[in-house]
Amino acid sequence: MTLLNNLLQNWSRYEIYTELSLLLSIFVIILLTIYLVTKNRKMLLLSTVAYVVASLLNIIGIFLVHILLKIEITEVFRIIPIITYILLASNIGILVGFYISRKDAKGFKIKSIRKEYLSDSIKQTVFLVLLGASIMLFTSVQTKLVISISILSTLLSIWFTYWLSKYILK
Amino acid sequence: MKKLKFKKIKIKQKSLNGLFRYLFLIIISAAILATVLIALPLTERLSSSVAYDLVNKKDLYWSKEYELQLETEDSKEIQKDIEKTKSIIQKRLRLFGVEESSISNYEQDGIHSIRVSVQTSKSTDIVDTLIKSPFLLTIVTRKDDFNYEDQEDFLAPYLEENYNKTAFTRDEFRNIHITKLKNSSNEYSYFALFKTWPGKNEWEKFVQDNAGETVGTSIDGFVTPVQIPTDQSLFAASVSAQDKEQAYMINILYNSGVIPLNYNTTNEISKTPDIAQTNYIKLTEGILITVVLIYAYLLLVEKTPKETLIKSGLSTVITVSAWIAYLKITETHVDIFLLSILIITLIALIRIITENTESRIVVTVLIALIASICSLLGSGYVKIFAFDLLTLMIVANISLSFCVWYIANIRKSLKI
Repeated sequence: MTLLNNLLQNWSRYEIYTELSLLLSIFVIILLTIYLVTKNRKMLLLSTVAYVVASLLNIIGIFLVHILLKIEITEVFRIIPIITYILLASNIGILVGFYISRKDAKGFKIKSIRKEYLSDSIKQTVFLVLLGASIMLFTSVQTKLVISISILSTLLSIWFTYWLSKYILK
Repeated sequence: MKKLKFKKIKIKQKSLNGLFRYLFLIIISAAILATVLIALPLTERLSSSVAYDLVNKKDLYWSKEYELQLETEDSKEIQKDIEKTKSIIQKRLRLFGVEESSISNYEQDGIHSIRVSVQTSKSTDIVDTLIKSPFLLTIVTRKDDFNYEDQEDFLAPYLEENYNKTAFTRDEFRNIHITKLKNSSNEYSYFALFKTWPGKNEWEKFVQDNAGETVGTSIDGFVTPVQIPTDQSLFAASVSAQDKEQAYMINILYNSGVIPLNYNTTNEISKTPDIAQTNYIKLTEGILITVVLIYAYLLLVEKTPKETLIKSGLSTVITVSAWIAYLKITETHVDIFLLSILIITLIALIRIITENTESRIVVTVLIALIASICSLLGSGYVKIFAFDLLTLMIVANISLSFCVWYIANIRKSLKI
């Protein structure tokens, strides 16, 4: 049962609508929550870009695995965006949490949270790389691919967001 | 003779509290150790009385391919009807929690067919019914000149051709609610309660006109007689469901949409399930080694405070062990590959919520939101993963608070 083949040719409207509504609901609710707790459009923009980039990287990752490794993309791969969104939410959550805790401080500048965000992103990257790499030895090919695509998409998105924060969080 | 005087031993309240705390911590530590031991692989061999073994769901999986031939002769919009039929069958399977399903359609010699492939651990009989039954509903009335009491033709009251069809189909009803009601033998059994759209006067008139009469619900040509009561406008058809799962199946069949085309199952092929093979013993050992090595590395590079690492490491061990121990004790069937993905995600998340105290609530809320949405709107593996992650995020937060208390008290007791 190849998910990719089905998606391109045979997915029923019900499947397309439910999958899209699931991913869009996550998008909307997460971004809305971020905006409601920060009341800051820059944070909202940064989070939106992070999620869009992560989603694109997920799609690219799944296509590359299918084309280069000739691996069947089964239903298990539907978990990839969910893991990516969760790991990304933890990274964005750090930024948001730090922003909320500091925004009322005297002389606070939004620019200043970049330094803290960098330090936390480095730690998260090291941990995820170590975790991902070491777990590769014990899991099946399918699980390896799901974890690899999720972690790589998350990390690339985190660093793209960090690079972009230089221009957005001014 | 000199009296012997013993010195009074005064037990200070403070030292008594300390002793109780010390004993309590020993019990807690023993409980943690026991949880870790239960969670570890092969520890079930330590005791012959209890089987602490992880139940692999792999053996429950079965896979099948169904060919359904569609009756498109009366259809005005064939492609639209085929699309709707595919969507409804997929909706039925997803609502029932089938892990993997795919549906495709094809045309051969002018005959339209649908191919349904499933791979699931769910009941074969129920999945079979969900796919093979179009569940086309029509309300029927009795023919005046037909003998329904004929002892020689006992099937007569159940065949659609012996009834008059009415214009009432599933589309006429807003919802069909499956519930338990008392039957004529004064025992509880499942019934389908038909609820109409507001302002559907034709149905109300039909029920009033047939009050006290026996009519029927015809599903795929098989009629279930229904006695309409004289004192109330209730239309309740008995349902042949023995348990909750079967009642849920009937509920899905009634309420997941009206299939526009009738069909017949022309072929069924059993297949070998294609499940990611993961050895849980190797996996548990691997996760344990991974956690120990990563934390040892982080301790060596000294980029994170030792205190944070201890809290994070201990709450990871407690949360993961508690979860695996729970799965073992309750003998819950587990998808091992899904468990590995879940634990890896959890390890990464615990580390983040421990290290960033100011972001702990925000991160937990965001993850809980994602997991809740996936539990509500997701299906198959996504739903299982999300629900387990939601539970584990709650356990992880409790475990983290517990670890803070535990470490502080251990230090106090041992005066470190």
